[in-house]
Amino acid sequence: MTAEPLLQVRRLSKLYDIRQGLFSRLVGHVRAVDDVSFDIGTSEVLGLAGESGSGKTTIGRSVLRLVEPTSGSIRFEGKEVTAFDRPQLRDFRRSAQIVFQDPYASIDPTMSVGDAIAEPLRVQGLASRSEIPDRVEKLLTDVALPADFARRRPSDLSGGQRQRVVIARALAVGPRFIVADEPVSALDVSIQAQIISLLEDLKSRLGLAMLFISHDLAVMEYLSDRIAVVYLGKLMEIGPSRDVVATPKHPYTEALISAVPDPSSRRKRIILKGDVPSPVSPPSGCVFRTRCPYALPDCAAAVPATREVRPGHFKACIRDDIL
Amino acid sequence: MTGITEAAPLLVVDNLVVSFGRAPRSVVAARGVSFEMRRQEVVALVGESGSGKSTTGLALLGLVGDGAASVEGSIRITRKNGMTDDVAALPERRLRQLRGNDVAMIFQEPMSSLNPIYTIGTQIIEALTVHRRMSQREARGEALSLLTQLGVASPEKCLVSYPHQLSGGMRQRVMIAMALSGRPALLIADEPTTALDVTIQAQIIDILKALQHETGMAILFVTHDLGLVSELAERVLVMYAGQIVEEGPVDRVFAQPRMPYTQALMRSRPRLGGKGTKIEAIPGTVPNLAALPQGCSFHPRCPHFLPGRCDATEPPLEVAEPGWKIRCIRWRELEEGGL
Repeated sequence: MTAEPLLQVRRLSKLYDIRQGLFSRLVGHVRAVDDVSFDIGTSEVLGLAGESGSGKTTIGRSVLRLVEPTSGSIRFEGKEVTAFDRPQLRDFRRSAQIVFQDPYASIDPTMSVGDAIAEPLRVQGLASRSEIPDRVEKLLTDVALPADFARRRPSDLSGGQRQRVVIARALAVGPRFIVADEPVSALDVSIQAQIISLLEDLKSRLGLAMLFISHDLAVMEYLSDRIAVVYLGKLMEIGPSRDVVATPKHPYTEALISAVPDPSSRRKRIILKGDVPSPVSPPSGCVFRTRCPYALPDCAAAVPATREVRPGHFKACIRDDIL
Repeated sequence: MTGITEAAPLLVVDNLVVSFGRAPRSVVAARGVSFEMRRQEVVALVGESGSGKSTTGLALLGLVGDGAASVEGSIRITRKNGMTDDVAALPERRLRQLRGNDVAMIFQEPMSSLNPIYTIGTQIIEALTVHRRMSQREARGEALSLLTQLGVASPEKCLVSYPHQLSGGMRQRVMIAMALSGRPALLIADEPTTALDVTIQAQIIDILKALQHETGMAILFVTHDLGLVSELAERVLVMYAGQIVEEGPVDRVFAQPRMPYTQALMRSRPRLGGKGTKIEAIPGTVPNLAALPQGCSFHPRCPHFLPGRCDATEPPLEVAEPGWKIRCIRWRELEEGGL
């Protein structure tokens, strides 16, 4: 990327304290996110793939400062997000929004759909009382819902319709960047495609940049320009979607892709042994080595550096002789 | 009930209707579901939420007939003793003998199926003493061997653990061990890997495949995930709005689905490695079971909807060729027209 990226994340870490006993003595840390760096360009969609406990949700929330990072730098349009005070943070929320997985938990059931969509406009003071109905109608149209939905209650809506409302609400403030945390995972298969198409359309029409968090690699490949793979809070691989899926360079990515069931192909499957280790005491060196089919004694020695293996394609693995 | 020969199918479901609530406000979750399963066969029952797939699975164990629901039709299971029983007509006392011994079930969320206040050992050993009338000692030994078979690395440690101390993948292994404790001829697996990460899902699917191979038990695999179906099953039943809409061999149905809903479902899924190929969303939503559309229940979302025909009469499940059934009145003309 030649121009300055929209979002620049450097060495992001988030540690949660583990406290025990009468005096809440600090006994350790959970390393939810550990030294993660990436960029997202204007109108670019970066997919963030990982299993549960990989830190992908914490990364998504940290870049919006919905959780406070322990260390590292997050620059949005050149400004340091970690240094924002409350008014600056409020302004930042106009540029960056989030869509969560569960559309049932994301809308106040006592509000009408119209009020729910208008709430961010009111809070941010972006529209006067008289302008609100028009703005709400426009937003409903943007997410392909009929204008009369404004008067409906969330309980009248299906899961897919609710997720559209959640997206409309995130779009209300006119953001340039959205964190979408598993936005289709709670939906039925036939409804998922509708929301995926909507997100695709918003990306091209509004030029939205996105951090698309998902455990579903097929959906992610479809929607993302680049994919980042995280495991136990660490970045394993990042590169163009097509390359990461077709020719993964990290053993974990290879296993993750091979585990995706596919009705049409019979790919070689790599079955990883065991479970993800505890983030309280992650393995030394490469955190994946305990499950890696290619691990060598050297893998325990030092945390592997992230290296560029092809233009724009990086991996954190010491072995170049395998993939 | 009569004794039956070797060639008898393991399971014959005939015109199963399950409804909840009282008419006229009742919701019919399964609307005339009929299918058969042979011994050792792995069949997938696929559908979205509200398709009736889970209800059908539960009905096979006699788990929906209580009070709130009414069950019509018959579910004939050939038992280990060679007798055939109709699950839909059995009294609860007899159902209890059938459950676990002839048919067992595993569910999506193992945490809610295990008792949180007892150790894993207590729970597996209980199952073994009940189903196989083993002594505590024998049961302990069998529990250890079952867990080993399921790829549990330290089975002794697992036995003294409580459910919350185990990972999701481990808990599902324990559930499978318990389900296998009665050596059932049929295992109903209702979304057993949906709550798990993909790498753990791959482990569990691998184990199920191996177990099926070793024990020869039949598996009815209930899922919404089309990809998983092809990993495991030979035959697929596709459900929509309480009915089977297509039934056939997995490989061929997936390569060339013939019912418009199955076709649309296949086109709506992005495929890994298929970047650049467009997906086509299915418009509209799954119909409300309390207010089903007239005629074919897929017609409001169907690209081949023909007014006056598709919304007039309910299409029958037609045999298109041996082993392949389609519920669509237009399937012939659509195929002849190359659609």
